[in-house]
Amino acid sequence: MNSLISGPSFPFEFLHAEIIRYEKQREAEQIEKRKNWIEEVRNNPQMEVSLLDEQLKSVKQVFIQGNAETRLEGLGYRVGFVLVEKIAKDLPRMVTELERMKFLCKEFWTAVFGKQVDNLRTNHQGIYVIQDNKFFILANFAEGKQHMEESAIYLAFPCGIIRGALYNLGITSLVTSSVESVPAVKFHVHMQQKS
Amino acid sequence: MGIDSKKVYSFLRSKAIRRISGELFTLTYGALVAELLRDLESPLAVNRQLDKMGYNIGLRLADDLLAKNSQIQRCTDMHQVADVLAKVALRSYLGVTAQVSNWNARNDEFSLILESNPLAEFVEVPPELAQDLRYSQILCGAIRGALEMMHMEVQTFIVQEHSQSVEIRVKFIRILQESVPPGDD
Repeated sequence: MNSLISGPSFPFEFLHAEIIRYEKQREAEQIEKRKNWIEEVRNNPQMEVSLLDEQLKSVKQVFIQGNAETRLEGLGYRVGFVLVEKIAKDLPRMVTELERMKFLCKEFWTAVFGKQVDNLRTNHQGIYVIQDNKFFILANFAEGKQHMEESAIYLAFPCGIIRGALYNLGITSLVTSSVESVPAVKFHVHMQQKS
Repeated sequence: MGIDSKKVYSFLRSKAIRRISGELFTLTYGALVAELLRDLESPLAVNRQLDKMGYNIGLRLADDLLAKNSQIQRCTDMHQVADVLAKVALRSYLGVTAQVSNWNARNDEFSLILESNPLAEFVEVPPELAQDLRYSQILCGAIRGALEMMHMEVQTFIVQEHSQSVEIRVKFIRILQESVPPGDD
């Protein structure tokens, strides 16, 4: 099973790294654009209305689309939403929230990330902590604390996958991640009340 | 009965794992293309960006391929290069093999034909984009990048792309000299 996962996961990791590079670059460009715009507005306070209208489109673009991490999370959400359907389609209906979380940690995690989670904890009030001691995306990072800051952006996409998967199972949630020591990751799932 | 269904279940699951870890890749790629289309607003710009990403991936994939497949010897002509690409590289990273065909008279140009394109497994490119968008352009970039690491400059482009099959044309340009460091862009 190991060879199955490590083989095909390779292209994914490269692709993921490229996506992150693209998003970072894009974020930098957006910040640059925003700066220029603010500068311009400051320099001529009495701008013509037609010019403002013209700029409105690009201004909207700059401000609506979030930063790199938000966008990566959004991408992951899409992927997770579809993936979970494929994995869960032949399984019996899951009734309780706990059952769904267990499904996520066993079947889903194994199918997508190559192994089961190492620990699942909950306070029974809508907060779950999923711990994976060797998360596959960080598996190639140097162990320890030296790359902790860079690792954050590599987890935005998986967070989105988890959120998307849960959403398609009927659970609206917020997913965040924390790293204390590479490659162990904790994903925090906060259930949202359905309105 | 109980044992049987268990067996079937575990068999199905072992199958499912193989397929699905590839699905993560396929779906991620699809989400990326969709996002690029939204960002860049022009299919041609998307092709360029995909090609660039593929190139960066290819630069690093070449190392991995040679490290894991020690049986690959130095290639002395393009026929061998084509063989390695079609039989080893595509199989180890995408799980498919390609057919090599359409050699030109000078033997420096060939087509790789993928009968089933894993990247486009769940994809239907809308007709208004199909004209310009090269959905699998990332493959071209990856082949170009990987061959550049082997000091071969090639041109790659997609000749035609249907829903499931894709034909990639590879054209040899020249051998790069040892002293030129490959740019990491």
